[in-house]
This record gives sequence, C-alpha cells and structure tokens, in this order.
Amino acid sequence: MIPEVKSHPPGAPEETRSEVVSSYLSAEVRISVRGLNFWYAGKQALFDNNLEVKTNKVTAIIGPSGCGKSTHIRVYNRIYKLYREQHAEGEVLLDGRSIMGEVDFIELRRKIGMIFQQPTPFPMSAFENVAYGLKLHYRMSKGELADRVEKAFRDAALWDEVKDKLDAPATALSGGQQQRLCIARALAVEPEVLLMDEPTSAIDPLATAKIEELIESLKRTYTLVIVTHNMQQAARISDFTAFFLEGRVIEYGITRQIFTNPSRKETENYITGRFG
Amino acid sequence: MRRKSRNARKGLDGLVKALSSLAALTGIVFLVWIICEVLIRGAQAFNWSFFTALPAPPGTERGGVAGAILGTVGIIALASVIGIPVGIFGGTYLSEFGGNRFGGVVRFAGNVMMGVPSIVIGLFAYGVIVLTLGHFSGYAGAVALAIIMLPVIARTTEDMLALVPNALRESALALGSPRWKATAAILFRAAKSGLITGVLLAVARVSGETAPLLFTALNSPFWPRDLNQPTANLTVTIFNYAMSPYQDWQRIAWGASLLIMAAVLALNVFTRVVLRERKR
Amino acid sequence: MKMRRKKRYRSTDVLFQYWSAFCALVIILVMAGILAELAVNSRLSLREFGFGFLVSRDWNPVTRQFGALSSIYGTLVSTAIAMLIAVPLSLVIALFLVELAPPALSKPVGFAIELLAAIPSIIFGMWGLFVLAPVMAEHVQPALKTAFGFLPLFQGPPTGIGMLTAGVILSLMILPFISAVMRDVFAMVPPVVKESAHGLGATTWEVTRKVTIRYGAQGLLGASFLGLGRAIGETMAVTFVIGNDHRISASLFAPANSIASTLANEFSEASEPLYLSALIELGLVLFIITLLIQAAARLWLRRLEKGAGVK
Repeated sequence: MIPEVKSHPPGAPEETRSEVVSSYLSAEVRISVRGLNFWYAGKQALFDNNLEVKTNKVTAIIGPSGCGKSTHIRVYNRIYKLYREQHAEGEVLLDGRSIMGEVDFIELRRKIGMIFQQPTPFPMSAFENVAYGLKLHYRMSKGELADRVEKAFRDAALWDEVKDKLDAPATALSGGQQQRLCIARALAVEPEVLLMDEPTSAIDPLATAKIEELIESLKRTYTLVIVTHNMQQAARISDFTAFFLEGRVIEYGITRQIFTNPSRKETENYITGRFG
Repeated sequence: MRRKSRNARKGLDGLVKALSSLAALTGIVFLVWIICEVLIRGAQAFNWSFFTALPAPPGTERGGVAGAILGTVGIIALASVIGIPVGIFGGTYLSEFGGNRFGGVVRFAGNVMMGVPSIVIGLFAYGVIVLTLGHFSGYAGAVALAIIMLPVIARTTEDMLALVPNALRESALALGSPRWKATAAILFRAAKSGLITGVLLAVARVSGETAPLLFTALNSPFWPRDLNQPTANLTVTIFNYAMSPYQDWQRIAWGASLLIMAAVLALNVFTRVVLRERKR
Repeated sequence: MKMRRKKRYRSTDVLFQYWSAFCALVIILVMAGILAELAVNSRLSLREFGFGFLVSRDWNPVTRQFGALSSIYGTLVSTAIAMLIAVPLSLVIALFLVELAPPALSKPVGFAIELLAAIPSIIFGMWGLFVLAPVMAEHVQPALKTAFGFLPLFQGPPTGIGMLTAGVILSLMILPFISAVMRDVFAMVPPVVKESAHGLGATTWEVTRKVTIRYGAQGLLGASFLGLGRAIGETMAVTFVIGNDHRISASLFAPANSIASTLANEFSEASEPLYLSALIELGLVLFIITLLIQAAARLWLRRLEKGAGVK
C-alpha cells in the first residue's frame, strides 16, 4: 500500500501547484516495487517495501544510516546476487516486467546503471574506462567507439576536462572527475535507469555542485534514483522522495510535500533533525 | 555497431567457471592422493624394529631408523637454538628501529636469501664449516638449517610486531619502561601467537629439508652421539634408501617419509587451527 | 639513587639495540658470505674452464671435462614445463577460491592448498618416483606418443623417468605457492570495483579478465615469479625423477639433469678437487640465476606500478 500523496499542499497558488502535481502523478512508472523483503544471512533488513520510481524524474531515498536505503536500490540491478548470503523476495517490475527470478543479468544491468559512493575507476586509462562497457556489449569500429566514448563524456559534463588526458590513467583525475568518469562509464551503455548510492558524499563541495547540476540535466533522458543522507541535497535535486526507517518505507511522495508537510511523525522528526 | 551475442558471453563465463572448479578439484585430488600413498606405504614399514633399530644391510628386514630419528631431532633442535633467537631479534630490530637505510638493506638481503635454493645454502655450509673443520658434521647441518630459518623468522617477527598498535608501545614507554623491557614483556606477549606461528612454520619447513644436509651432516648408520661427525638423519636416509634397488630399504624410506610428513603436517595444522583460534 | 638507575637502564637499552642490530646484520653477512664462499671454492673450475663452462656440453669426471650446459638446460626446460602447467592452473584455482566457491567450500579448499605447500619436497620426490613415474610410463606418455609422436618432443622410450615427469612434479610443487598468493591478490580487489564492473552488465569472467586481473597484475606477476624462483632451485622432487643423465635431448621423455639434481646426485662421488670445484661452480651458477630472477621480478613490478596507475 503506497502512502497517499497529498494533492493540496499548503501555501502556494492552487493552479500551478495542481498542474505540477498532476504532471507528477501521471508520469510513467519505470520501476514498481511491491512487498519487497530482504535478508542478510538470515537477518531481515528490508520489510515489505512498496515504492514507485517515475520515468525521467529524480527519486531521492533518504533516511538515517543503516536503514536499508542502499540495500533497497541494490535489488533493482540485483547486484546483491554476487553474495550468497543475501536474499530478496517480493515483486519488482521494470517497465512492467519482473526482474526477480530468472532474468538476464547482462541486459538488466545494462539497462540499470549504478554509481557508488566512492569513485571506482578501473585500473586503465580514462578512455578505456568508458569504453569498457561498450566493448562488453558491442562490436564496433574504432571510430565509432571513439565517438561513443566522447558522447558519454559530454553527457557527463566531463569532456572538456579530459579530452587531452584520455590515455592517462583514470586514477590521475580528481575525486569529482573520477565520479563523473564513473557516470560517463555508466551512460556509455545507454541505460534507462541510473542508481546512485550517495554519489557525492566522498566528493568536495565544488565538485558536488557540478554533479548535482549534471543530475538535473540527466533526468531529461534517464530515470534517476539517488540515495543520500544529505537532506538538503534531496530537497534540491529530487522530484520524489522516499523516507526509509529501519528497513521500511515510511513515507513517499513529491519532494516538496515531504519536506514541507510530511504526513508521518517519523518523517517530520527526521526532517527537522530530531534524529538521524 | 553490432550487439555481441549474450549467449556466447554467458557460455564462455560458464566454461571458465567449470574449468576453475575442475582445477580446484584437481588440486585436492593430488593432495589426497599423495597423503594416502604416503600413509599406506609408510604404515607398512611400521614395526618394532623400524622405531628401535639402527640401519641394517638390505635384505635382513631388521633395519630401522631409530638413530635417524634422534639425529633429525638433534639437528633441528640445534638449528632452532641458533636460528630462532637471531631471527627474532633481527626481526625485532627491523620492526622497532629499522626504518632507516640499514633496515632497508637487511630486508632486501632477507628477501634474496629466502629465494636462495636450500641446496645452495648447503653448499655454503659445506664451504664454511666442513672444509674448514676438515670433516662432515651434524653441526654443519644444523648451521645450514639455521640459515634457512633465519630470514623467515625475521620476516614473520617483523610483520607480527608491526601489527601491534603503536599505542601499546607508547603506553609502555610512557610509564617509564626501558625499551628492551617494553619489547620483551609487552610487545612479545602481544604478538605471541603470531611469533610462535612464524617459528613453528619455520621449524616445519626445515624438518623436511634434505639437500642442505647432503653436504653437511651426510648420514650415518650409528647412534648420533656426537654432532661433530656425520649424523644420522631421516631425510638423507630417505634419499639414500629410495634410490637403492632394495625393496625393504625402499619400504623403510616410505616409513621415514610418513614420519616426516606427519610431523610437518601436524605442525602446520596446529598453527593454523589452534593458534588462529587463540588470536581471535 | 634515581640517576644511577637511569644509567643502568640506558646501557641495557643500548645493548638491546646493538644486539638486535647485529642479528639483523647477520642476514646481510650470510648473504654476502654465500656469494663469496661459492666464488672462492669454485676458483679451480673457474680457472680451468673459464666462461666456456657455461656453454660446454661435456660432463665427464673421468676425462675431467666439465660443462654446465646440460644441467642448465635441464633446469630451464623442467622449470618451463612446470610454469606452463602451474601458472594458468593457479589463476583459475585462485579465481575459484575468491569468486566462485561457496564459503563452505572455499575455506577447506584453501586450507588443502596451503597444506599442499607445506609438504616437503622429498615426499613429492618419493611419490613422484614410485607413484607418478609408473603412471606416466604406462598411461600418459604412451598416449602423448600416439597423439603427438611426430614431434621430436615426444619421441623415445616412455620410461616415466625424465624431463616431462620432472616438470609435472615441479608444477605440483609450485602450484600451491602461486595459487595462494594469487588468491590473496584477488581477495584484495575492493568489492566496489568488482561491483562496478558487474553493474555494467559484465559476466564474472569478463570482470575477472579485464578488471580484477588488471587491478592485481603486480601481485599476480609476483606470484608467478615466486613460483619460478622456487622451481629453479627445487632439488629433491626433481632429483628422484629426472633420471640423472647429462645428455641434452630434444625429447621430453629422455632423462636429463638439472643443476640441483646434479649437485645432489654427484656431490658424494666428487673425490678430486676439480670435480668438486666444478660442482660448486654449478652451485654458483644456480645462485646467480636466482639473483637475476629476483632482480628481474623487482624491475618488472616497478615498471608495472608506473604504468597501470593503480594505487
């Protein structure tokens, strides 16, 4: 049961508000989650999660540390399957089709990209990093590869900074550049959804601003889900916000409403800084 | 731009996974095979005279390795007495005072030494001791083994001591303890199980060594009364007997092999299982 | 009172530092000593044969003509066989242990590999001589002969004692060392890096091949060099099965000699000074080869460090 989204937020002119709201509400659902439960070696970590991720919108997932935010999104691309003691049950649909059960991981993970908290450049040049995913899935000429790599760098707003250093080791880039490199790498294989697990928590504020700008432009083409422990960031960049507490989805809705008029006490307490 | 076949990629992945499982299985198969053969063939040699008698001529079925057992124990004990203290103190120096150039050279030399084949070390002991004294001896053998143990023990000592947090060192010194006392009483105790592991593994390693003894202690059919002469030992006995054409001697070689293998494996299992538990 | 106590402690401390420094010094002294002693004791042979020692195929105690080539050949070929078998095998075993095995399996298998490493080489020698050699003679070598007998590598009588068996035993000996180190290397790759690659839709092998192996390339190479160094100097396992023959033959079935096996087999028979000196010079050659390999390993690793851009 998805907690109801209030349709009459206070304070603002009724007309534009309901326009915004209805456009949000009618947006397509990219990922739909129902009754998701998750266990780490027998210990339950997620309880009956329900959520909808809307297409071409940014959905932020907030909550105190250890409440299951990362665990939740790691089900979307089933990266948890790498670890034998981790186990998930429930319904998760991507474009209406189930991703649980027997599924082609290669295709699933091409469609759903993931960015991690620390930048994870592969031990190769910047060019090779971005080319890695392309070479995995496609056979193409050198020229075409170069074009696509350049496009990915441009989409990640990194081209100008690396175009002269394409063959230098990726680890020579700054932290913020490395993270954008990882974004470029994920974008190269043309995913539909981008999962970002605290993408800026290990980056300096200036680089963070750049990445937030990037996120704003990315949502035109992609669907983004961003886990963040930084509430201000969530308020700044997201369209929808889900609040997690102890493995449960407490509340979920349009960001503006969650932050200005949350319907659950726990949400209010977290947002006002009473804990977390 | 063409899409690569997903099935081909998954097929290759599956093939590699199957190959690695097979390879791992092969490793275990060989281990089990070797241990079983040694167990079975070695056990056939075990009888009263095997453990109590001195070597006898082939075909008499009366021979034993009693002298060799004593000799091996004696040589290893002497080697330990020489090698362990020097190794531990050397490793202590490297850990506590060795951040300088001298320490770097020592570490380098230690690394090189650990890569030197044990037969070359045997040759060294031959040249330095046997040639100088004019005869083969158990002493020379013990020295050769001690040299093999030395860099290994120094390295593990340095590693284990380096794991002890600096805070512990500082609190000992802050109480006014002199350096040597802090090291002996506190550091050694803190790293105790790691140090013992390192020592035991080094002892296990040299127990099975044959080549260095070939040029130093040789072998002897008599009781090892005096280490200043060629000394009976298990490993050279195995070498001599195995290469001989006599069935009963070959059987004795298997029996001695079982003794050596059992001792070495027991030490290894002991350090890995028992000492590791205690560390946790 | 206080001042006197301090003085005593200070001198004990100084003693402690000097004593442990001396023990550390011993290591350097021994290493230098080995080089010196070997050189000194081989001077007879050095003078007699000069550099020709390294390339001479002779080995005749009767005519007093000695040359290292046959022994060096045996060492190199048996080691090459061992590396060819052991390195790829170790790679996939390490892969198995870190990526594929369920935790219930990886611990005991890892333990088994470590035990294999602890088994003394003379045991391998015994097993090789009495168990493996007959198997090679009766099954493996005839099969190779039937299939590939047109190659000079697989010609001659399949006795089971010779270069091939020696190489196989050597590979078994160095396998656990190399795979243990490779396993540690794989385990040190940060999970997030591997997850990033998986997250792009790569299969496990694709992640291993392009990311994990690259990440740990230094360590993997170090592991291989470790195995190489071990194989070159290995004595007892090889001595039992290599056949003790100073001939250089193209066939892998033929008996041969490595430097170590020559030393082990002939030292006790070396009655006269030139023979002894020649043997010791062989030991010197072995020592120098070992040093060169170690140096090469260090240089290579340093170059890799600069190129891969891995921290």
